[in-house]
Amino acid sequence: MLDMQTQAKTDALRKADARERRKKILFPVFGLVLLSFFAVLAASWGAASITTMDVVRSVLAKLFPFTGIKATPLADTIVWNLRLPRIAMASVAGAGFAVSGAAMQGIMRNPLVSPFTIGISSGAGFGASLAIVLGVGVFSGGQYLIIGNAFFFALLAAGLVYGVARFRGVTPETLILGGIALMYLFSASTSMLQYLASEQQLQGVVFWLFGSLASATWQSLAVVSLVFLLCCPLIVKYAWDLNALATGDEVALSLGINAARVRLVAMILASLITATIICFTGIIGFVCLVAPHITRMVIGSDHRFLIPFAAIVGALLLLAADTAGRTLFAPAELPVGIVTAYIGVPMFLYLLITRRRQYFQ
Amino acid sequence: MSIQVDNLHFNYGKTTVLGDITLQVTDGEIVSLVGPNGAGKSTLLKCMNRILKPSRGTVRVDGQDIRAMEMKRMARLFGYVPQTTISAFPATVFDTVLLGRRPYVGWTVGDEHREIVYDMLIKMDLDHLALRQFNALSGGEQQRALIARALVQEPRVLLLDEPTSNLDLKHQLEVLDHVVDIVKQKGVSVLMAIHDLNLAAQYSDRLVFLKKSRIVMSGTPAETLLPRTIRTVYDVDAIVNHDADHPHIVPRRVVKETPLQMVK
Repeated sequence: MLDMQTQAKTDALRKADARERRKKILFPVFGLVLLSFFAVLAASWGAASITTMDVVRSVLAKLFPFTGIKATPLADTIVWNLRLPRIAMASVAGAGFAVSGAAMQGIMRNPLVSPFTIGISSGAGFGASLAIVLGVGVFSGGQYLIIGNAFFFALLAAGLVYGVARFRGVTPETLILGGIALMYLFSASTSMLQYLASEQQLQGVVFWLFGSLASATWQSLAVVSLVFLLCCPLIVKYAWDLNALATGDEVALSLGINAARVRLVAMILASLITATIICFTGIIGFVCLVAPHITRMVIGSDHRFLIPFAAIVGALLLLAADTAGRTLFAPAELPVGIVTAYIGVPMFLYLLITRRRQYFQ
Repeated sequence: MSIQVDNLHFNYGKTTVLGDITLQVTDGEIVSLVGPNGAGKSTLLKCMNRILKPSRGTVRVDGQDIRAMEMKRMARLFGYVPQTTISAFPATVFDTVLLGRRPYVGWTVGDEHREIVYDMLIKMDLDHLALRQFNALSGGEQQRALIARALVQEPRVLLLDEPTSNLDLKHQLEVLDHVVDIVKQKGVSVLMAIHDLNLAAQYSDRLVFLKKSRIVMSGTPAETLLPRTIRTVYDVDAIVNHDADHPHIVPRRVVKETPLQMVK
């Protein structure tokens, strides 16, 4: 009798567990379909009007030349030279932001942090300003001056924060406080440069700090994608350890996980992804903060599923923001950094207010 | 599985938190660490599975020094239940307990591991809460979930840090009953830090009294739980009743501090 009861309970658990697991697979698949669908739509919206069918034809013609599908040269140019690199960049950048955000929140055990918390964005902003205003940089030369500088200073900021934290033990608290301190330092330095800049330089700095995907090219996309594809699987590989870290270092240690090493590796990977993206796009906030939260609400906080799905959610979010910024007031364009903040902040506040109990209880 | 601790010291900077600790826990034994706040109970627990690294001394498990052990192997030998747990992100009870299988699984979790989790959830009376958020559970339920997580590690030794501190009377007994049941069934040794002397006496085979970083006395509850011990360790005058199955103390009042050497 007792055995039958236990058997019934086990069966119920098995069923509930299977249902949960199905959900964790189905949502990402659904998200991916939604993303591709939305990408095609986004390619057909914009200042120059082409139809959705033009886009589909142009994409199919290029990808499957043997089918004999033909597209107009105008549609080809708009789709392949202007819109697709930008759409792809929005997706990859959004995914990268979301993944690094989820990883940083995991290792810091804090739902309010992002890679920007450890000074990456302010470092990048300072590096870019340095190149724009004073024309000096760590990598000499031309078009790569701003990109190289932004990348270098972004990583420098992360490295400094980690170095400072090492004095007192690398805990979430030391990293976050060190990051905030450094953020102020770099922001002040950027302001100083803005103060010294000529009008034209100032415009350049401000535009860079807004963030924009307008200058996305296939080349920059290739670089960002490469770094993302190298780092993201490594973060996913550490998913279990991130789950354990969320419950505290002591518990992680007792489960056989080297908390300090996981924290360092995840931080390096997240910093690398973020720095690579923002050196090409400028500072685009909030995707890295909000995308992981939306994802958690849908499929829970097991990082094995959270990180891949967050990538899709981040891609959708940034693509939506960029498309809105590009099309709402076409031919004028709102910088994507502004639009993400307008979408991200209310969403974030909503989460903060309604989800408080679960996060901070 | 027996644990042998020899001459263990732990310093935090210049402060000695543990000095010259020697103790053993034999197979299937339940040993409680008792003593005033700050005596070093939690620290001693954490030295067992190298969450903290002792400054000096050794901890051996069946003769093997834990310093030579891989982290993963240690995680299969020791299950640790912390005093307080924050779950930074909402995780279900199932996922919380599943984490205990970490030392055994790769990236994916095979069905055999899931079955172990199902069984433990049922044993700890948590199955109806499996998909609830851990943070939304009551104190007693949370404690049971954390113990379940440590037990699915299939440890040979269970380390419990104040397992009853946030619980009401009924849940204190319930949690400890669960522990004793499973522990006796599987022959797991238990080392727990606990404040409540009466609970300690009721559930432990042996008590180890710590005061000011040192062990001042150890033995069975009947041997050690005497007015003299309570006075020395806690500076409290107490009456000890022996009419139940185990000694029961009734604290009376605080007295002037007793010098340590008077115990011997």
